Amino acid sequence: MPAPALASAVEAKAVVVRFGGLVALDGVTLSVARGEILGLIGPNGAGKTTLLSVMSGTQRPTSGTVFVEGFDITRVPTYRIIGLGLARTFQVVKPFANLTVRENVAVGALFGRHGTSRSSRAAFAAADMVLERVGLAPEAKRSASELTLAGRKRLEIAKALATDPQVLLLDEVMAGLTPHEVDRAMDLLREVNGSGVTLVVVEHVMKAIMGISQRVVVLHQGRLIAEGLPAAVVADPLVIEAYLGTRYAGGDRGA
Amino acid sequence: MQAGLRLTFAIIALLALGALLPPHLNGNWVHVLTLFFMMASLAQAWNLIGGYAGYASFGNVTFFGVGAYCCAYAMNVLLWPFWGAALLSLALAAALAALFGWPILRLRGHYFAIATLGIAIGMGALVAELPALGKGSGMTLPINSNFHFFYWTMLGILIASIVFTALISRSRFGYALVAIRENEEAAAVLGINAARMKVAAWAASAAITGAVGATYAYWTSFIDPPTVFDLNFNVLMIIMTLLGGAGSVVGPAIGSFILSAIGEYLGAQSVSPWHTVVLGAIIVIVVIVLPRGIMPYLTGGLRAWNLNALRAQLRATRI
Repeated sequence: MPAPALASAVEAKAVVVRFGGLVALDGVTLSVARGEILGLIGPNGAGKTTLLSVMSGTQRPTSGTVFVEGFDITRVPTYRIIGLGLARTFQVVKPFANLTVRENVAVGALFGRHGTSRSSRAAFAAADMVLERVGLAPEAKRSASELTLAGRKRLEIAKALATDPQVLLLDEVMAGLTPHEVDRAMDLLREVNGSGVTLVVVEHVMKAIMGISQRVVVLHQGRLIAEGLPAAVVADPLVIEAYLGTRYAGGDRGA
Repeated sequence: MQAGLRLTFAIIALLALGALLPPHLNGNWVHVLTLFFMMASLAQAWNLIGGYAGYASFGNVTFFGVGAYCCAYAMNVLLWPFWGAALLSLALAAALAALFGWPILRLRGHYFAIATLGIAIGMGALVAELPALGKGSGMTLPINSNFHFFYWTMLGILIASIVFTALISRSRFGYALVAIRENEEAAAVLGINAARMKVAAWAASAAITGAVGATYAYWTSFIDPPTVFDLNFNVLMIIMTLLGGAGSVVGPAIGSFILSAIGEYLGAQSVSPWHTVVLGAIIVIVVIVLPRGIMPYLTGGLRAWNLNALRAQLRATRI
């Protein structure tokens, strides 16, 4: 498949997702540039995870289209998305609990973007390198179920990295971590991005999102309400209103 | 892992030595051991779909029955030799599993279990209606009174199924199945084609089961639907696998050995009404106390006896 020359790694066009009567995404159009770190924020229930799921092919949109590296993935089965170089993590971590940490990561390497062209031995060697990189090497032989929350969040990233992605969608990989762990995770994400991987980061930890994003988009009630540099976005009255209510947004629109 | 590998080799070696036994055994022991090899093979086969992929099949007995009838038809009507008939049974069972599996392996949990149960019941009823298969009155097969032959054949199938499980347990396919069992969505985003892997696992499971069914038919030389589509076979496959350790390489064979040994002992004591009661009690206790079977205790050494680990296991089964 020759990749069309496009600047965007992922593109969502007029994406709508309805769950029964609930509109989770209401016409979202978003382009993720190759190589950037895009922060995706918004209050609880804004539709962030749903957008990530649509972009990673784990949730079919009710209408609209998603392109990964220029290919329409709207009807592509989930397991084939990684072939286009797109990986994701889950907010509610999904470790393979009865496998060791090393085996968890090896599964990513055994399948992943290189599919089955890699030998098992090469996949395990790749897994070991990823474990070094994310700092999980000391836990390699432990069962994934024995890891702390920070460890399991790190394992989510490690599994995704082992697939050798070009685009990585991260769903709240820092939630519940201590400030020190957040710093370590930020360093890791910067390092991953430095190696050429486009990142889309959904996060509630503001310090993290402000610290690493080159661009931030804000989702509120299923719509994009703001986009821009991190500092400009957090000063946007619409964004403040979405998070804190009208009273804090300035002006006298509120009650 | 190392301990697990040693145990696998030890059991394969022990079974291989078992091939030398028949001349020294009386007929009853040959019968008892042949039956044990048969049940162990069925449990090993069930383990591929139920233990590794985590899809509890209540329909594997379908492939036992289909294998038995296919063998009977091939030997009786087509006049094929046993080996050809057994291979045909194996292939037909695998093909049926792929055919049924494609739609129903999309179901999860109880829904899959119920659908497979439906297939087992439906297939038994269908066979009982087919004139070519003797309707409900059964089929006879050529008689072979060389019982050592069946001992060796069942033993061969058991060893082959253990070797096959050992090979896949460390393979890409095996890891894919375990990943699917642990979390199907997480497996899919890593690039695992879950639908194809599950169908392949069930087809492999069915192939072994079909070959066992074929051998059983030739062994008993008479089959009818209530015997070869008996859901008790299916229940035993599951219990033996759970007792030994679902998703482990030799757990199902160990589980069937223990259950067969208990059954023989109780049977020999002529306490037959109590025999089934005791077995039932064992099953309940196993599910409560040994949710992962006895394998962790055989391979994990003392660490597995740690009470905290046991408590954690108990919690894990009661989500």
